[in-house]
Amino acid sequence: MKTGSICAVCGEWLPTAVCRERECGWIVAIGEDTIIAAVEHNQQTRHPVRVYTE
Amino acid sequence: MLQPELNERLSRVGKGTPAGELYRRYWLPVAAAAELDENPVKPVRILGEDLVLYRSEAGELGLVARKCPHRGASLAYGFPDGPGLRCAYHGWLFDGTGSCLEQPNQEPASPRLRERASITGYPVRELAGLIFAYLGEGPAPALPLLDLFTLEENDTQFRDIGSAIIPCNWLQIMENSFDPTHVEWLHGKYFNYTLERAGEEPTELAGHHIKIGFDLVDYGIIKRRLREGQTEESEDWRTGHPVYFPHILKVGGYGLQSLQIRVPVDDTNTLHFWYCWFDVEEKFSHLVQQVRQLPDIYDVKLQNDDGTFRMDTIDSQDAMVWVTQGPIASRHDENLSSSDQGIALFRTLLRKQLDANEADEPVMNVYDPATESNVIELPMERKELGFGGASKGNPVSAFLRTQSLYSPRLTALSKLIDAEAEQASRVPS
Repeated sequence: MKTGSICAVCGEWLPTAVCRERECGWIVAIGEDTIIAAVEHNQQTRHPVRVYTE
Repeated sequence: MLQPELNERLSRVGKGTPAGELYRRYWLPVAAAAELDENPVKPVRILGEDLVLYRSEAGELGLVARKCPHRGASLAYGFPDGPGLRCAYHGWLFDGTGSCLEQPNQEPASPRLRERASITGYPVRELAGLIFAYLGEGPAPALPLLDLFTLEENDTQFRDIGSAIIPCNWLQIMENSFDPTHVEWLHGKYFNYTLERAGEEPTELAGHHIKIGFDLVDYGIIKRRLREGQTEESEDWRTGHPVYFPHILKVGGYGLQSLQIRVPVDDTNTLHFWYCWFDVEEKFSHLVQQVRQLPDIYDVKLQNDDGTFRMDTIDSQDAMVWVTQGPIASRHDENLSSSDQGIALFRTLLRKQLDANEADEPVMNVYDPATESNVIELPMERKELGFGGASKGNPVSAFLRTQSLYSPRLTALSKLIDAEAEQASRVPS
């Protein structure tokens, strides 16, 4: 399934979160929990994190 | 969707509430400095507390509880005298810490009564045309020096500060700052509908969003958008709009830089500042000199006398959607969509910060006083803003489609530029 979009089956929106810190490599796309994971990663690591949909 | 209990937790700002205690960790602007020029005593209500801001005869600022502890009269009718503010009723005198200095008709003087009569006083500081107060416990943190607070007026650059009380909770105002696609509809398609009916030039704001993104950074969140026809090299995506947590949005473009600062008055009212810097071409510098004689503060009109929203500026349109959500938006009956992920992100960040504050852990943007001199640079777009409606050769006239419509300086400058253009067009070639 394409991340950063809306599920064509259930209509849930599926943002992607990507860490912008060089060489970190953290990325998640776990439905609405993506947002929580993104904030936790940012708060724990102080790394900038981008959340997006397209 | 938020359960009512969580909504309350995020929204309410009274003393002892989670969000109220978080807000009390920050320096908050409570007035523009020039507001005290005409009358040095001003009643203010911040975070549900009724206070009086004043400038003493010695020029020192004070912010104290509004109720006189003697007979309960309002110190908003007090007058500056020596080092403090004197109650109009019987002349009791208070300094900026709230200590009672004099009780004139108390014979003999009673140090104990005087001590008992002390009132709440909060630290106050003036910076860049604004008066900031710290309503928290313990020593005040450093006052953040945001980049626009360091600018100086010159031949081509000037500042003004608009303000209004928005009759709704602060959170729904902030949430709008994380909602890129409303620009396409509210300020684009809707505004163009009204402009076309009035026979005026449409905006360029109706472009369809094909991608939105939000960067969590050390000071808050940067909102990004990509519209049809743009690439990721466009400023909309590359630079975006930063929000300095929890209450300041920075926006701007060619000729304008501004901070939109939202300060809760109480649970259902928000003091909104538009802190704007304008930058014009050198050829207009003689006109800038003239308008700098005018007041640099103004009230922003958002509603008509009958309470309906004016809808003729970007900002009154925003106010309409903020306020019509209700005094405190009920979020249990909302249906967030994919375009609302920024709102969900901000709520999550806010929840985490509330948790951290309650656990006595470090909170975002609360600085040790030793870091005071650091300037906080926030990114800003420089592109044309796309408001439309500019008269020929007059770049500032497009700003009249914002709250600057009520700015004495900006409106005067626009008229002067138009008048010069008109005069020039009459000169035979």
